[in-house]
Amino acid sequence: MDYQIKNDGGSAQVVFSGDITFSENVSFRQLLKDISQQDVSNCEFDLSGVDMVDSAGLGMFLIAREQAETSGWKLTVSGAQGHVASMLKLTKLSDLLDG
Amino acid sequence: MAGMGQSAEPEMAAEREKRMALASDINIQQLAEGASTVEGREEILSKALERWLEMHHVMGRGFITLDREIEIVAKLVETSTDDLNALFLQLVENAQSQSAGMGEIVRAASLVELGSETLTLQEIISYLEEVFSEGIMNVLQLAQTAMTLVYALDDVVIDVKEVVRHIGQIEQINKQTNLLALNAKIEATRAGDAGKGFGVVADEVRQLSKDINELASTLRTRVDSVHRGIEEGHEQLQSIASLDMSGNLKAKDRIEDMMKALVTQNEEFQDKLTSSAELSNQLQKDMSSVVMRFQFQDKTQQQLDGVRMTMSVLKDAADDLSDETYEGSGLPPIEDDSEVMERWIDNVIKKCSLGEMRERFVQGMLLKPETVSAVVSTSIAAVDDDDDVELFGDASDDAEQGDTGAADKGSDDIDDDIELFGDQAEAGAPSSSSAEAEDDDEDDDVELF
Repeated sequence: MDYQIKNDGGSAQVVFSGDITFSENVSFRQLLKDISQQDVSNCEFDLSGVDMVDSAGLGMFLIAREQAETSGWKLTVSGAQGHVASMLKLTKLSDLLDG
Repeated sequence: MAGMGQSAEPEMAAEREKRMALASDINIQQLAEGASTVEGREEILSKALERWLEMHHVMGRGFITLDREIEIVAKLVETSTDDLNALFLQLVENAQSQSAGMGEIVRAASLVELGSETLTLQEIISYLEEVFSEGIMNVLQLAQTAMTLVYALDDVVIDVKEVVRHIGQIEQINKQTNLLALNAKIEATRAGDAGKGFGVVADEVRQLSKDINELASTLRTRVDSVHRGIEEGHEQLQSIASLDMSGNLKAKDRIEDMMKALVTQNEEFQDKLTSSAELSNQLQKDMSSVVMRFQFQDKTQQQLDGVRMTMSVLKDAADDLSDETYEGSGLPPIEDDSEVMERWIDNVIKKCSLGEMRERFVQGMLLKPETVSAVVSTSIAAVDDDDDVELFGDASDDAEQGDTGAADKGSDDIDDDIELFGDQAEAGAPSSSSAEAEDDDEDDDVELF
């Protein structure tokens, strides 16, 4: 998994690529730290470049959502396709994180 | 049917000729010879009157027999109509039962009985979806908790590493302490007795340093053990958190497909039931329409009554004329069928192609049915095969009744005549008063209608 943060003032967009699985937990935690330091009010996860997400990846999205609530910013996801979109729908995360 | 249509015309002409020949049994030869004298003319007139009375007698019995036939036909139409009516009503009832049965099947197919609970298909689908969704949410919750733990352990690992670093620092300080104690011991030894006490302190410090070193070593071992434990926990958490949920996704899709198929099937059942109910309703309407059409029986009954009435009136007129003839001519009453009468009757009976009806005509029209003429016997034998055309089994019962009735009539002709057509006794014999006959006629009309 790679990611790139684009910060447009108070709104940030994180563009992911590759798979989001357990092995990416360290990178993901680093991402959360990076976002916290940027003082944003909104953050959008662009998942259009993501091919696969497992339960650990979905768990990390939920941790991100918890952190957003604690830190006072809003998390949304966009661009999910195929397997990723199905997983978000199956777990109803698309309802929770719908932009 | 043979008497119908144009092809029957020559046959009818032949029949007419035959009848004329019968009538001429008065003997044209005699007529020609006797016509020249008064006695001769009287005899011819007397013969003619006798023939007329014989003809009246035969016609009277014919009217009675026909009247009975009409009654039988009317009864047959009535009972057949009633039977058909009942059958159609039964058909409607069966169609309704069938429709209700189908409704029950569809209802049962769309419901599941669980003890005292009855669940609809939709409820079952909702429940399964709920359970499945709950399972998925549990997996997700587990993954989130596992990842939270992973991050917490990561933090612990950082702290453990810090502890290890601090142990290293302790060991470093201890090493320096040991060196200092060693130097102090050397210096104490060099000082001699004056340094003896200091040397003891130096030894104690070295021992202390050694103990600290052992403690630090134990601590390092323990912290390493904790670190390994955390790493193992990390791996376990990975196996818990990292579930490829593609299988669940497929399962959910399949369950959804199955549920949709069930719902569709149920809807198809419902559609079929609806159309079946519509068909049943249509059938019911059609049947009602058919039952309405059966009212033709009433009209037929009225028409047959009209025919009977007409026959009755014609017979009364003939009876009156016959009475007048007996009165005026003084001829004796007819007590037995003459040869001419038998031939007339033979002709009628031969025309009957239906066996049971023929039997009734034999019994009804001959004064002595047991003496059926050779001509009639032959004609009966010739048309026996035609009995196959009899359509209704019940008719045999009617025939038997007819036979019995006719047998009674044979011995008690007068009673039967009175019952059906006014005063046959008076018709068969000269009546004492035509006014009496009229009275009887009126009674008969009332009796008939």
